[in-house]
Amino acid sequence: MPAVLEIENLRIGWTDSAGEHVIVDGVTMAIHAGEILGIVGESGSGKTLSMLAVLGLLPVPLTVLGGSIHISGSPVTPATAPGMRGKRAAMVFQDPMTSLNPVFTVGAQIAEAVTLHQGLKGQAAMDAAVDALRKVQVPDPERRAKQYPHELSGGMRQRVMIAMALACKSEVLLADEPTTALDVTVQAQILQLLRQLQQETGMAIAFITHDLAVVAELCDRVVVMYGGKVFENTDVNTLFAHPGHPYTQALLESLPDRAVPGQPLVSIPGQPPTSGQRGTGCPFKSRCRVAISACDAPLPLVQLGTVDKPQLVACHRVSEVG
Amino acid sequence: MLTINDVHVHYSVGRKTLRAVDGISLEVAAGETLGIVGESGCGKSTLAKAVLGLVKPVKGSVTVDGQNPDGLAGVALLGFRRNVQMVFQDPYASLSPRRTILQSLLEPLEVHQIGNDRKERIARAEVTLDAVGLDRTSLSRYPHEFSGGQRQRIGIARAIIADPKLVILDEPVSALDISVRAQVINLLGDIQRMRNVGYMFIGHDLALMRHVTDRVAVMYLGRVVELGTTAEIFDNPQHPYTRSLILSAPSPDPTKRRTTPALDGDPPSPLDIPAGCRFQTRCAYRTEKCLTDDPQLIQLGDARRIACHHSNTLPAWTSG
Repeated sequence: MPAVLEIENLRIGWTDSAGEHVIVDGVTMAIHAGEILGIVGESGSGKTLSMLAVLGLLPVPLTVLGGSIHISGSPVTPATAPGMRGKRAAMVFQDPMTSLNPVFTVGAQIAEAVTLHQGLKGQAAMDAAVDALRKVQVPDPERRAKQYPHELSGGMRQRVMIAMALACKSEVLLADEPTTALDVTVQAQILQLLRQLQQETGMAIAFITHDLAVVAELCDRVVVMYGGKVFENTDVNTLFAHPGHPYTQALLESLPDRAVPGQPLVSIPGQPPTSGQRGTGCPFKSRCRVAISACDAPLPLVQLGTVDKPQLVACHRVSEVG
Repeated sequence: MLTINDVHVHYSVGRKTLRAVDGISLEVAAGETLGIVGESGCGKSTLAKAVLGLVKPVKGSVTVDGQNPDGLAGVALLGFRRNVQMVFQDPYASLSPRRTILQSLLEPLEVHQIGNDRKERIARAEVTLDAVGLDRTSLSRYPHEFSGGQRQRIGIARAIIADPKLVILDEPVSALDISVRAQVINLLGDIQRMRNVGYMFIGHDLALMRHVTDRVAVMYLGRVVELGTTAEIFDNPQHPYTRSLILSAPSPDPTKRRTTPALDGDPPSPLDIPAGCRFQTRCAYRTEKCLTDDPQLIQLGDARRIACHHSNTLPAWTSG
């Protein structure tokens, strides 16, 4: 299967008189057609910045310092990104209220995107908007299209954002914690909708989250990020059955689902590093139970698993923990 | 220790009445953790405010350690509040950015006139910081100098420094990074064991609730629909809504995916509570009776209460 989104050795940061300050450091990942890739990480891990770079939306002063991004073979650069946004890659954010304009109806906002990216005008664009709302299972889409964002529930607003991506026939949907602000009942509905749309349209989806249970529920493959680096990249079954990186292992062990009743949770000492505190080598070394002095050296990328089901792990100690 | 007796909290919204809490009775014993779960709009936060004495119930009463905040004012109300403290979801929003940690920790002691002089109070602040696992040098620092997990430790220190009987924990780890959540949960457990404090734990992460609570109350549109020990609620839920909630929670096992969502749609607005059973608009077991008769919360076992006309005829529970 061809890769719809290919990110190669992406580095993001800013430059000043002291030199380069790297925040995202050498991220490589690919999403294939018809695949849902989970990107798991904590705040500051670089997961959202990597996706913003795909859209050319990095906040000033951050820029892409190195590496490459391709969507279906076309390079994404500061010059090409605006033309690809919406049409080839669309993003759904955690809080749809901040991405929707409060003074226009949701139908008009989807229609605007359709006009911009599909060239449809007037009633044809509005019809396409209503059609998209129907596809995301908004009940009574004709009436809903005439409503304003504040009249919709959080789950409905998130469906509107997904409808917008659908109406523009984007090749890849970047979903940044789209269910974090929703109730678990509504989250289950949105996860099922994404799975269904992905099967029907073949759209590639990158699903950014910190919730491992959501990853297990939805994703085909998973990239685990920490401190601006990719720690592990493998299929979802391998990740949960045989996590390769000590960080992934510790995260899974700390889940309340895996706790022994009556016993404390297994906890990871310390705090995630801020971008200024990472130092050299592995950013997890100060919290890692198997760290040794060799962990100060640049991270290797070790390939485990099989040719069909590769498991990439960035760890010096992978042979010790496997 | 905490007794909530038939509490109703209503708000006027235009010409309508929003029945945020609509007849709730609950108890929390010393050293016990009662979990409160339910979707947004079910009245969890309003119930917490009623317990803190921040909103006045239109009917019913809240009693903490024999004291009732109704009619209390001034020093007497302060005395009540000393016994009930709260830990908020976002520790950054609940700490003043312009005060050092010491200033933030001394305030409750000064308000409640605990300790004879400043020296004693500082000593108490130091001991409390030790208890939450922070260095004493933190006292002279400001909230922005700490990470999210450390700030939540400060929020916990502030809640326990006046030695309350009850602490309301409102999603205390939801805003924290996943790798530090377990530390904070374990800390809350240690504090409870040491001080025999009661917790009212509001949360939406059911796996976490299962681990940290002794009993669970499931709320829907201002009412408790099921109450029981944590084992009863999770191993054998008897209310259709409790079952749907448990089935909606994603499981961290990719070989056990849910294929269909357990519940359609959103909860109805608390401004327009459905007639009969509140859950009837989304319930798979609805019958004629549910459209007209409001089921009362009836006692099934020692600690078990359920509000459903059909709880004894539901199919046997399977979590798969």
